[in-house]
Amino acid sequence: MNGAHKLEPPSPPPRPGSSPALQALRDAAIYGTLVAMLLFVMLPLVWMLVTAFKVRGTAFRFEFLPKQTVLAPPAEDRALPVVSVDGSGAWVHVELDRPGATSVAVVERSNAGDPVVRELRLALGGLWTGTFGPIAGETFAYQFLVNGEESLPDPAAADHDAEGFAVLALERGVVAHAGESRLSFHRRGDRLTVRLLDEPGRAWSVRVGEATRVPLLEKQHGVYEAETTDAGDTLRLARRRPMGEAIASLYTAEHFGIILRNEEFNFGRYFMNSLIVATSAALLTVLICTMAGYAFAAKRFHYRDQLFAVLLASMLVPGMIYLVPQFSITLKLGWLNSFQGMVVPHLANVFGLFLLRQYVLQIPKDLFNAAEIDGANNAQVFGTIVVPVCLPIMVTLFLLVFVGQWSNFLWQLIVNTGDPATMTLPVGLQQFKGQNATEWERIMAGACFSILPIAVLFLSLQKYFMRGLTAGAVKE
Amino acid sequence: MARTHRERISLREDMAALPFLLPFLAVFVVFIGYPLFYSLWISLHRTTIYSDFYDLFGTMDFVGLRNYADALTDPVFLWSVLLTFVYGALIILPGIVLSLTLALLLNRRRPGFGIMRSGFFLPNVFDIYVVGVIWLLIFNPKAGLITRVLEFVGATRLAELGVLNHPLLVLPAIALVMVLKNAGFGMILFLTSLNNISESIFEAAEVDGASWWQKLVHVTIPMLRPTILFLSIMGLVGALNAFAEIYALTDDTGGTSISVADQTLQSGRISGYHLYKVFSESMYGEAAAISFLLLTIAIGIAFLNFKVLSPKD
Repeated sequence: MNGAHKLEPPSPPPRPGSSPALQALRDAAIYGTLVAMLLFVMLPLVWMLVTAFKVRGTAFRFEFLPKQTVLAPPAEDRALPVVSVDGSGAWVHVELDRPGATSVAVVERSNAGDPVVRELRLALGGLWTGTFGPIAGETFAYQFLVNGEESLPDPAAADHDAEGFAVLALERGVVAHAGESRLSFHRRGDRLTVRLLDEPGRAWSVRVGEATRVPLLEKQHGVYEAETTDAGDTLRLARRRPMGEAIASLYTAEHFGIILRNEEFNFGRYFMNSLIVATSAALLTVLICTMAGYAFAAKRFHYRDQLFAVLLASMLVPGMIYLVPQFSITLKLGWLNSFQGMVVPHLANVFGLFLLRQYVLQIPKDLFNAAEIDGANNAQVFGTIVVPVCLPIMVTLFLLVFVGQWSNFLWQLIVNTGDPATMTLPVGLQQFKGQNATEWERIMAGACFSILPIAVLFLSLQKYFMRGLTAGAVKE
Repeated sequence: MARTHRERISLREDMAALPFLLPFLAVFVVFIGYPLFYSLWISLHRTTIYSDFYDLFGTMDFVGLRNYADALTDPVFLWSVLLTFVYGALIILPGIVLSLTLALLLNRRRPGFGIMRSGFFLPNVFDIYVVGVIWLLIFNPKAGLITRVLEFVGATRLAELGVLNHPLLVLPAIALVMVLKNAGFGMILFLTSLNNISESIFEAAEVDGASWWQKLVHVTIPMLRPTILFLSIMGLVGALNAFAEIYALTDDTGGTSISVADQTLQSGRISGYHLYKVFSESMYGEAAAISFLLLTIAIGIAFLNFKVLSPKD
């Protein structure tokens, strides 16, 4: 790190830091430092983009790389009933684990009529199963009847009616399960049977303890089963999913579409409004500054230099001073909630005038004289000499004003009293955030509408921006 | 008083220049020149409960200098001025150190350095409010990125409270956000100045056997003095105009309340935000008076600027 120094002396004295190895090491250190600093400076941009694409409600979940294997939380050791609909909308499969029972039946009232008792058969040791149908109606309400007398409501079902009957919707094409009963364990001695009901065609496996993995085989349509040795280990279900699904579980582009179509907070509208305000302010500023710059640089008139000094002096006044009077004037003109209210008060850009005047001063006087001899009037001189010559600095001024007005939050906040028709992006974002404070993914998607266009504009036209910087300081 | 050099300016010349001047001057007079005096008038008045809502500015009561007297004895206003200078100090020194470091590191031709310069400058063109909202997410107590880092290093109580809710940390945190956002601006200015330093000065220092640190302290930094001063002035003006970052990062609260000398004051209520708050309560006379008091500070800074910078040029 030897500062601005670039050239080594003709005969380098033997100092540390001049050998090629150390030079390379020093370069690596510089690159490393710079990249680390750049990441820090870029953090808001990166964070905005990542969050804007995250699935709703996961802004604070610090998971960024899609994982193909999903691990369910450790399953409780339980033997809950399994009641499922096969998807044809008419056949129901029922299982209940009751090793000591002498008989198990299902009492069902599917047609909202009289209860029907259906006996289950003993399958594996203690597991009672039955499949029955076709069942008419839209719901299947049931209870278990153990040993012919003991009524048992399904503890796993999500919905129960008033009499304790579990209710399951029968829908064509949907494999439905009653509540949590999608997973069940059946322990017989040292054998453990794991049964799972899920969408068909998935790759499930069960992890027993730390080491053992047993794949679940799809026995029937949507019914998975595995058998393993039971050593009282914790059991976790794991599924290997396709990459697309893994990405979709973390990221989505839906927020952009949603805030664009949002009736109340329409970011498409806000974007257009910001574009209108920034573009018209920039165009008009460039026009009047070029005209005035031409007059101050190439024309003679009374009090020219004094007037210019007054204008320059006004640059010392911080923008905050104008808050109250500009608001009052805008109010009196009836310009609240209007584009002209946001644009016109900022058009007299003294810094822009200064830039343009300096530029016109560089035009050789002979050029103006020659034009006058040719009989060109002032407007023709302006159009054929001043504007073409000043075009680069006009682009610079356009960009500076555009960026400034794109981000003029305070003024746009004051001039807008809640009319979405003229609301600009920062004010719209502020309103949206006020109503949806926890919807961070959507707030960030809204932020993208403000940040990304400006980033693209800057990166594609940065030589013009830099010209404005080196010509002096940027005044708001 | 026409100027007498060469020949007298004729009325015809005035009339020829007028169409080009008029649009600019008209906007200037209506929205910059006149408001300055109009604001002075407003600052001597107050809206009252009898003021017409639709003509607030037409029905104000004359109160003389009472707004000024009240502001100067109002602990909230004086506190806001104090905080403004604290905030200014927090953005100026770290900002200059970061910009200068970047410029010194990037002041050479190496692959990728051009892109990095653009990258460091890029946040400058972003909307302060929007960037503030993004940082609000990063600083979010209990769940944000900074909170996770704080939990990781063991600062669990701060993580629980949130950096932006801590009365002593809210301004440093906002200053950090702004320093990172504006670092590229200073970097570009420093790079331009560094290019203008003659190579022979460094060679002379080299012959004298100066280390890089000695060259930095005795050659580079003195040569960059005008840029450093300019950035300091810009920082003070920036602190005086600061609003959007406070609004965004304190969620329009002005920061946690703290008790200072029997007064309940807000930890982030710097003068720009205070002015906005007074304004948004429709206390226009008071707000105008405050803005003129801030103007005197700005003129003081400008005078300082003039004093310190001009003998050098």
